[in-house]
Formats: sequence, structure tokens, C-alpha cells
Amino acid sequence: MSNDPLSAVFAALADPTRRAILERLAHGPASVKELAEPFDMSGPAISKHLRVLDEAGLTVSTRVAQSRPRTLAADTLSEASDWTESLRQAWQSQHDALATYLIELQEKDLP
Amino acid sequence: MTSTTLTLPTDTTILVQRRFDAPVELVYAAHTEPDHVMRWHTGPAGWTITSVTMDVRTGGTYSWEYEGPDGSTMTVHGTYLAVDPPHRIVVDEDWGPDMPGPTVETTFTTDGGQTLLSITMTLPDQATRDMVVSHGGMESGYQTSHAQLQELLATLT
Repeated sequence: MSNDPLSAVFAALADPTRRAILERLAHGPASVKELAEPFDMSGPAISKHLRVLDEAGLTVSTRVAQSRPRTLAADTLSEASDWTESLRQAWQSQHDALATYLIELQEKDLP
Repeated sequence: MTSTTLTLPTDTTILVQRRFDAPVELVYAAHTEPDHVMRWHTGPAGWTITSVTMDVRTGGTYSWEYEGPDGSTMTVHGTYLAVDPPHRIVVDEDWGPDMPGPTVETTFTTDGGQTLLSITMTLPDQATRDMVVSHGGMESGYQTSHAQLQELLATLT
């Protein structure tokens, strides 16, 4: 179920096309046509991806121009990255301990 | 210092990767021999590992016990679904009768002079996956909720 905001964000991020769209938007706003260009995809297929990103709050469509350029909603993205960062750090500290231990083991084996 | 990366490749998975300056056989041994595991797999900050039993073969089980700073204890346990030394281990983590646990696939790949460790956790559904991700760094959770601890620690194996 993707009813809560965090789940919607993670579900949106789980798709490689949508991640590529976000990467493009990190360089600045872009029209739907510009966003569709790198992909071998129909207009409706791209629109569907954009809708998922909009609904997750990761992108915002501006109505100032007819092309409705999309911009990245950086706040939502950084919130999601804060969540994953905590878990990543827990792994990092465990793996740092392993890395140190592996060095000890290999030094012990030297003559 | 190399660093650990964490990504969410699909709705229900978490992928954790890290490179180590050690041969693949040694990194594998560090994950499969109790004496090695005791030396580094200490759990969350402030916790210590007190007991490791593991029968590393398909169908075998493992049980790792930890003790917290306030004396509370917890156990991470499960069953080996596949064992392919020194390259791959798949376990089914047991989260008790009320909740399906994750399947955790750990692979060890030679890459240059290094070993690439890849841990793919597959959760039963997206909600559970998101819960694991969002509880990952909650230090207070270590103190207050045994259930959260169990979930988090399951992800650390």
C-alpha cells in the first residue's frame, strides 16, 4: 500500500525511468517534451511517470507556460534521502568494523 | 576509506553494497564462521554480540544473540535457503509468527583486488520495506521498542 507519503516517494524512486527524469530535473526545469527525449517511450507513458512523480511530491508542474515545465521538489527528495541515510549509516558502521577486522586478519597471516 | 551504499532498486527491496580490501574467500569466511562473526558483527552502537550459532548449509539455521546497554537481549535467527561458498548465501530471516520476514541474499564478488559485498533484502511488501528503511537510524528505537530492534537487526544480518 502506498497511501503514506514516504511510501509514495519510495515507490516513485523505485523506477529507473523516473530516477533518470529526476536526475535530468536536478540540472533545472524541463518541459515534458524535453524529458521524454532520452527515452524510447510514448507520450502517454512518459506522462504516467510524471504523474507518479507529481503525486509523490517529487516534482511540481508549473502552469506558467503551455509546456507546463516540471521542476524538482528538492525538499521531498532530501526527506527521503534522510530516511535512507540513517539506515545506510547503520550498515556503514558495521562494515567499517568488518573492514578493520579483515585488515587485522590479513596482517596476522603475514610472516 | 570506502563507504557503504544503500539503494532501493524496487518497491520491495533494499540493496546494500560495500567494497573490501580482502580476497573473496576471507570476506565469505567473516560471514560464515562464528569466531569471525563475533569479532565484527556487534549490532547497533552500544550493543554487544554474546552468542553465535550457525549451521551454514542449505536448510541449516542460525541464531545470533545480542545484549543491549540496559541488559536487554535479542536474537536474530533464520534459515539458510542457499549456500554457495564463497560467493553467495541466501537466508530467510524469521520475524516470528505475526510477520513474514525478509529474504536476504548476500553475494561476494571479486572485483579488481577487492571484494564487492552486495546484500539484497527482499521484504514481503512495500509497506514493510519502507518501515525497515524509516526505522534504520532511530537511536531511541534501540532503547524503547524491542519489536523495532528485531526489525532493524534483521536487516543488519
